[in-house]
Amino acid sequence: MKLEAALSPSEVLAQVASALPADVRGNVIIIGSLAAGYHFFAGDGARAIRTKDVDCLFSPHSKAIAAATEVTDQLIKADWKLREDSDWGQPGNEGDPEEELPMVRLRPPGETTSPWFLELLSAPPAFEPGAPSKKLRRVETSIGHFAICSFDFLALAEWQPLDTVHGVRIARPEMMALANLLHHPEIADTLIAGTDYRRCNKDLGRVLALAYLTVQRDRRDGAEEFDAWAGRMWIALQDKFGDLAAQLAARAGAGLRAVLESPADLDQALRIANLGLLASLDVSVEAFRATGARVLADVIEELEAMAR
Amino acid sequence: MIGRSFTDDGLVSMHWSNPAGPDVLVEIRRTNTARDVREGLLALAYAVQSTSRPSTGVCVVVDSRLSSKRLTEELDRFRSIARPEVARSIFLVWAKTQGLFFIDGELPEHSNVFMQALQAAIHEEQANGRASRVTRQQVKAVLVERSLGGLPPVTLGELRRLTGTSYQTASAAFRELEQLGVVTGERDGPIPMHGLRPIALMKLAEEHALARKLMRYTDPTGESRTPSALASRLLSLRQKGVAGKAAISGVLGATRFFPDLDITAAPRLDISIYDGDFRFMSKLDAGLVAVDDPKRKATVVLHLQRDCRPAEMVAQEPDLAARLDCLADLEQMGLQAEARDFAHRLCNAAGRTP
Repeated sequence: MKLEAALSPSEVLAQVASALPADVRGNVIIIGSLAAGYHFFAGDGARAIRTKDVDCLFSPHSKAIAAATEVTDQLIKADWKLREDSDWGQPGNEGDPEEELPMVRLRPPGETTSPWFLELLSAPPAFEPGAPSKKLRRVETSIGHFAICSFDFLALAEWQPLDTVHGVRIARPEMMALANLLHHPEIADTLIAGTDYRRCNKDLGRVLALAYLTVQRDRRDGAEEFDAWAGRMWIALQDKFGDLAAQLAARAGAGLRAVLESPADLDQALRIANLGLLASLDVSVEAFRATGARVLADVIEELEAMAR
Repeated sequence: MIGRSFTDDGLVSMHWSNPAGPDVLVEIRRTNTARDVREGLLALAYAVQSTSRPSTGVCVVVDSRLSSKRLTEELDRFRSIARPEVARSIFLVWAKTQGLFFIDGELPEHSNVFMQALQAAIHEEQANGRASRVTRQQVKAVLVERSLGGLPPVTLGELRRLTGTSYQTASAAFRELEQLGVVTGERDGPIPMHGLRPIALMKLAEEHALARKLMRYTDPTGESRTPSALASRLLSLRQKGVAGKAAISGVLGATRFFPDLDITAAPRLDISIYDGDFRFMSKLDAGLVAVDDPKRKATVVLHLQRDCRPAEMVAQEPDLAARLDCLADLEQMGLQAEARDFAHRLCNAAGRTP
C-alpha cells in the first residue's frame, strides 16, 4: 500500500466545502476518514490523517443526481481535474452502460498534484431486501457521463449527521462504524485494489479505530459518547430499516467477531488503521484487541440485547 | 420438601419436612473432636424445641477420626442429661464419604426420599466446606472488623457461630490475638479487644492482605476510566443485580469511611470480592486485561476473600468493603503514611486508642 501524505482534516474539509456551490452544501455529508479525522482531530494541529480519497455523500437520494451534476460542473470550471486513471480517466457517453461509466473522482487544482481526490457518492434508495447493495446511477455533466454509486448501509450515514463550521455535515462515527459492521458479516477475500489487504480488514479495522478514538475523547472530556453508541445504532436501524432492524442488529457483530478471532486479520486491520485514521497514534495490537473487546461488550452485545 | 438452615440463624444444616410424621432437622459436622459433636447435639436440641411442627434431630458426623464407639458414648451421655422428650428426639450417626458412601447409626426416618436428601446435603456440605474452610486469619479478621465497627464483643461460642469455624481454630485465633496484645487470656463471656491499637491493626491488615487472592487488571489502550468513574459503574452494575458480592475497597473505600483522610487521589480501583465471582469485570470494562506482572500499572485490582464484615454493616452499606480490607489495600499499594493515618482513625473511631 502506498503511504499517503499526512493531511490536516480541518484544512481539507475547509477546502472541499469552499469549492462546493453554496446551494448544495446542505445536501453534502462527508463520510470516511475525513469525517472521522475532522470529528476527532479538528483544532489539534498535531493530529493528522492519511487518506487518498475524500468521500462526499449527497443526501437525500432524490436530490443526489442533481447535486452531483452541479458539483461536478462547478469543480471542473474551477479547474479541478479528473483523477488520472488508465481505465477510468475519461468520462463516458450516453451509449455507455452505467457499470462502464467512471466514478466522479476529482483532484483539486494547484501547481503540485494534490495527495487526495474527491469522490462523489449517492445516498441509497429505500432498502429492498435481497437487492444488490451497490447501486450505480448516471450523472450527465457538461464534460460527459459519469456514475455515482450508493451502498445500502450508507443510509446510516444520513442519520443525524453532525454540523461543521464549513456548512457541510459529517457522518457520525458510530453510524460509519455500523455501516461497516453490516457491510462485512464475514471475512471475505475481496482485496483493496493494488494491495494484498482485505477490504473487510480495512473497514472493520476502521470500526475499532473509531471506537478507540471515541473512548480516548470520552476519557479526555469526561464524556460517555461510546456508551451511547448502541442506543443510537438501534434507533438509526429502526429509522432506516424498519422491520428489518432487529435482524440487522443481530448480525452486526459477526464480521468483527471473526476478525478478532483471527490474529492475522486483526494484525492487518491494525496495520491499515495505523496507516490511516490512527496515523498519529501508532496503536499497539494489545490496545486494538482491548478496544475490540469493548466494542463487543458495550456495543454489539447491547445492540443484540435491544434487538431481542 | 427440604429447606436449608432456616430454623434459627443457621443452627442446622437441613430441615426436612416430613409429610407423614415429625420433621427431621439435620446438623452436619465434619470434625474430629468430641467437643464439636456435643455442640452439634446441643444445637439440634435447641432447634428441635424451636420449630413449630413436631421434629426430630439428627447429628451427622462426617469422615471423622472419632470411632463409632466414641460417638455412641457421646450420644448416650447427651441423652442421659437431656430431658427425656428431647433425648428421645435426638439421633447421632456417622457418615463416610471416602470410597463407598455409607451412613451408620440409628435414624428417625428411613424413606428413600429422606435418605437421598440426606446424602445430597452431606455432599453439598462437603463441597462448601472444601471451598470455604475458615482459617485463623479469617476468624481474626471477623473479630477485628466487628471491633472497628463498634459492635459489642462476642464469646468464643458466638464467634464460632458467626464464622462456622471449629473450636480449635477459633481458640487459636484468640491465642494469636493475645500474643499481639489485642485480647487478654480470659475466655469466659464476651472477649473485648481493648488492645487493638494502630500498630497491631496494621500487622493484622498485613496478614489479611497476604491471605487474599489478588487479580490485577490493566488497560492496554492507556485510556482507562478514572477509579471513581469505574466505582460509579460498579455501583450501577450492583443496582442491576450484577456484582452482588463485590465491594469498593482501597483508597476510595478508605475515604468513604473518613472523607477528610489526607490521602492521594486513588491510583486504581480496589474491589473486594466475597463470593469468588468476578464475571462482572467484562461489564465493568471489557477492555481491561488481567495481568500477572506486578510492575504494570493496574487500573483495577480484585481481592478475592471471605467476607469479614458484620451482617449489620453489610445491611447498611453493602457496596463498601471491610475497613480491614481498605487498610490492607493501602499497605499493599505502599501508601504507608496514609495507612498509618487510616489505622489511627479507625482505632480512634472504635474508641480503642487511649
